[in-house]
Amino acid sequence: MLPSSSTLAIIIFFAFAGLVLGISFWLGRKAKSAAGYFAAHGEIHWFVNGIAFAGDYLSAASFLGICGMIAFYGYDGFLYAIGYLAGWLVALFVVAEPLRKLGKFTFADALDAKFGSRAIKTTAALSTLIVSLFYLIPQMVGAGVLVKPLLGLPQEAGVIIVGCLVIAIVTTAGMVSTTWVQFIKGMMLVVFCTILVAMILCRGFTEKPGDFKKIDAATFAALPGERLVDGAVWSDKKLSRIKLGDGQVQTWKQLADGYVLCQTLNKKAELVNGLKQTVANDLLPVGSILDLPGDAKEAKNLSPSEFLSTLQDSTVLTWPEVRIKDPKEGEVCVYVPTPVKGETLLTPGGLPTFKALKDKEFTVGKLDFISLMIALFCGTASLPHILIRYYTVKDASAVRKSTVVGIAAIGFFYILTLFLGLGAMASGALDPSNNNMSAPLLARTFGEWPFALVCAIAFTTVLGTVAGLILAASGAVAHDIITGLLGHDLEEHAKVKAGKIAAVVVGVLAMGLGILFKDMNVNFLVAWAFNVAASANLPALLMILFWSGTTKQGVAASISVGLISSIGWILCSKEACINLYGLTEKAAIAPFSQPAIVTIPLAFLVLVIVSLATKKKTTSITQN
Amino acid sequence: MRHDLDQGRTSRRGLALFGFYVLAYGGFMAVAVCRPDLMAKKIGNGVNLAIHWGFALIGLAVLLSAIYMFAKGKDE
Repeated sequence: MLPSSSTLAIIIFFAFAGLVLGISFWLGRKAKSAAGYFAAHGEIHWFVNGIAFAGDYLSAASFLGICGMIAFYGYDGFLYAIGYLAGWLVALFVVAEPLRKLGKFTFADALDAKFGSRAIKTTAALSTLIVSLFYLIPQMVGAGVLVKPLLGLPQEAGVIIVGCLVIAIVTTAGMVSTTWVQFIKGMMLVVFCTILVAMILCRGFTEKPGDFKKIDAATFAALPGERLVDGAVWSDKKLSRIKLGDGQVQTWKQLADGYVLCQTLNKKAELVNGLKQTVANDLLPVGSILDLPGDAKEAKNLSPSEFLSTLQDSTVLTWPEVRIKDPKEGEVCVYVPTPVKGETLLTPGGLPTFKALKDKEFTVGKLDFISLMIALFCGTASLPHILIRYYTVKDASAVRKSTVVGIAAIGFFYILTLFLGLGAMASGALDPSNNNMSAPLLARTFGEWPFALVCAIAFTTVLGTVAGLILAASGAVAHDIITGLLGHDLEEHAKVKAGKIAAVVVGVLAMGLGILFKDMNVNFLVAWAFNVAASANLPALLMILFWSGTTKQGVAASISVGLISSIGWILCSKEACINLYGLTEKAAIAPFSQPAIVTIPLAFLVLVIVSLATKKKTTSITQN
Repeated sequence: MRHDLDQGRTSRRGLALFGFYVLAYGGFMAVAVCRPDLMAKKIGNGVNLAIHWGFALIGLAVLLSAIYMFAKGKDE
């Protein structure tokens, strides 16, 4: 859908974003040394750090991505929320305190504390850089998605604006400034989403059966216009097209008992239903309740459980996308109105990737679900931008307290996302071509103020997370690669300067990747980052902490194999084939999309084998 | 360094709480994969098992982390 912004929304947006940035710069103006720049001198209060954990973690994926997935596919979006939160327990119970005691500024510090090995430092730094970049992509995509409807600018402009602002934040005051951006944004996100959910519960649901227009075969046969002779790519999907006198092309989907009128979008040619996409000729907003339980036409002022049970017993009109690769017109996205029972939407298996969960038999598709849940569980404790936050508080007790505050804030927010997503599903405001915009479009149904505030909060959400990621990546370059690998023992001032230069380079790189991946769901992209982080970092981290037989060669090999195998798997997956290379899913080599179930055990195995092999060698040399 | 590493190891209590959560999380995955029909069953308030279990996993995470924090605080 084309952007439609208002002056009020733009003013609120800039005022809010400016206020957050101003406060963060003012509070972060003292950081000058490396300890201040990378770890805020370890002086952040545990409560502030805990909320900053939430601000750092609740990225564009959590806010825009999860809400969008729930709004379009139901419960499966919530699966991500469950997995994202569960991962925090690995962080708290297993990793947090030992890591805090071993490290100084970065994740590589902790891994290398026992061995003092250049190979470990290099692989850990590379892993930090790559994972941070993977995680940066969806944040930048989310930024572009936000700016498009709010400011009426192209998606690329949003990516560049966020990139420049974050580089400014990170290069001015480092971790202190970043922490305050994350704290303010974390608080605002939780408070405002609570208010929004209260508004959703009060509004409840209203039946709109008129949104689903179905005609019988005889009526379809009598429709005026030229019947287009399309190839198998259309007829295989039971789609028929009729060209009207004004050039508009109607696309009808054949069902068992009639035909339904679809909407089409050709993104490259900018055509909606065959005509040039304009404000007057655009995709219609979607998402409505066709049938409420019983004879009710509306259900208002609902409690949370009433909201869920009402939706569960209703019928919802969804608009799944079918992509047609027409030899003459290129790729055309067809949005097919499809009534779905609420009980189906509120159980796992709605997302195309997880549809196998609806099967009674065990199929390969179910491995995708298992693999994703493992990746989310193991990934949090391996994310470099989360791990560096263990160094910003004064002691282990503060680490624990801030992690618990973070878990409580994040858990509460994830419960809210279910209501936000389901509220959006029935809001009648969704853009069928872009599920990432579901939360802001939902807010717009309550007025321009909520819309502008949601966009501003989401924008600072992206700022906070991107700032943390760029800081982690710049720490890896300045502290681990320049000092550890190249052996240049930089002075405090030079180390900070190197970190800032690295932040600029990583920021620019992230902008380019954000533009390249702009059409993918941000939540799906983040899940890939979790897979890479869990495969590359977690096996090495756990084995160093819990197995005395671990050797430096084993650690370096494990990180390398985890990194290469998980990225390789992702690049050969169905989603990469469709969204990156423009191929069909048949071209995919990887049997399922999420690699963690294979690549995490592989990294463990490599660590054990290499450690045993190199330990034996060391022992025999000693004996000789 | 060895001493530091020993110091850095997490307590048995933390691992026990972690094991308990792994069971709850693994059970959720197992039921979703092996008995998807159970996930659709309504169990109180007219809401299905999938929603209840999802909320329970989030609540349990907050509860266990709070227990851990208070227990460690007492130990110290």
